[in-house]
Amino acid sequence: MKMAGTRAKSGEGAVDAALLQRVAGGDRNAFAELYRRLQRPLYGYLMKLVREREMVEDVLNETMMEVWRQAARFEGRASVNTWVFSIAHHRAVSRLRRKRETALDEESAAAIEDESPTPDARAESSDMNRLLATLMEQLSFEHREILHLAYYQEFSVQEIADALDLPANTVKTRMFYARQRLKALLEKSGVQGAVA
Amino acid sequence: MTERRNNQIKTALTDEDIFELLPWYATGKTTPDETKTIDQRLAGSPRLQAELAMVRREQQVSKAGAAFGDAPPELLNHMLGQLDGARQLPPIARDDRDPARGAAGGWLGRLFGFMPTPALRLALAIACLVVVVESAVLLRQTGFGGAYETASAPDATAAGPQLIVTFQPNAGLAAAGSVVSDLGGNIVKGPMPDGAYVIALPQGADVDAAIAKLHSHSDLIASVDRGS
Repeated sequence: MKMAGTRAKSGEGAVDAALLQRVAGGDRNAFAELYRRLQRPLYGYLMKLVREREMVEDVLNETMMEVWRQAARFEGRASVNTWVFSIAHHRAVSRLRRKRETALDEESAAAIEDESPTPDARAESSDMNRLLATLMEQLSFEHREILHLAYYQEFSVQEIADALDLPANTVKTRMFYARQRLKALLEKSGVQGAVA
Repeated sequence: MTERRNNQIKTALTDEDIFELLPWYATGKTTPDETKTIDQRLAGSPRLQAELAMVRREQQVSKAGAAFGDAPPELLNHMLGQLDGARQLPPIARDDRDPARGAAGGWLGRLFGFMPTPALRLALAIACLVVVVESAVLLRQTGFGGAYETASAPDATAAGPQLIVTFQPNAGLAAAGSVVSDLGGNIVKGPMPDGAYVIALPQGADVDAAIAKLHSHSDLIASVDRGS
């Protein structure tokens, strides 16, 4: 399975568009095929944001049902992939708001930091990647989301802008601040020189 | 000519611009011109090289930490079982597709057409609507020659129970507005940072019925929550 960010480059975007057109005509096989192509990146994206497996499955289900209902209204302004991610984003935000689970905001992140090992203990650990992974999980919903879309899904600035309905400059700024926050957490964990 | 253009890009991109672009440079998502400029700057900047190394590490960690594999296989069958009961929406008629650009909405197009996305156009249009509604309420309360009052005086926001509503990304202004007015409600606040709007219902309105009605317009309404 190729990752979402490589779709346009490999011409898979055209296949997605053709499948969506068939979905708009009520073709269940095309729906199943489109789902098979998108489910892995979507599942990874939602797991990263929503974190609870049961809720992730609900949101994935809602997203694909929305794709089924709205297929005829897709206008091709962005790629099919970006459009589906946009639906998933809105569904995830809506679900989290409904549950009043605003993911890990800065306050709760700070609480987790307090429970983390002391800087001395961390300094003994040579596994910088593991530390980074832990700290990434402490970022806010928006920051986790932008890191995931850029790094894992390999979306371009414009693709992220389309998916999140943001100006391109805001995408770059949000990424910058997400990385700054990550560096600040690294410094707090005893990693010197993390903040450029 | 190309050389001149490249020089322009080189001078146009500041160090801060390059810092912002490094994550996309690392994934090969910068434009050829940006890539060329960043290549040149990287060669002479240990600080940028260190930053790129950090970006690559972050990307490596992100990829390793997000490999969740496939969704449960039974989910597809579950979805296929729901398709028959899920009404597919027809294509949006050209005039409704984008009120800011449709022929019938030419003046709206001139007003809001500069906004880059339909969602932003909808947000701007609704913001204008809120201003008009609040102005009307103030005028009704004070009259044209009335005493000075601020817009935060008792107004439409206090009319009745409130709902927090998020519209679908492609919801048109006319259709979204008509759903709200069908409830006898007004949009009194928004968009908030997450894109949601606050709708005030009339005093004594049946909140559960209003929520159910909004949910029935799933092509326009993405979510509904009770407000304060």
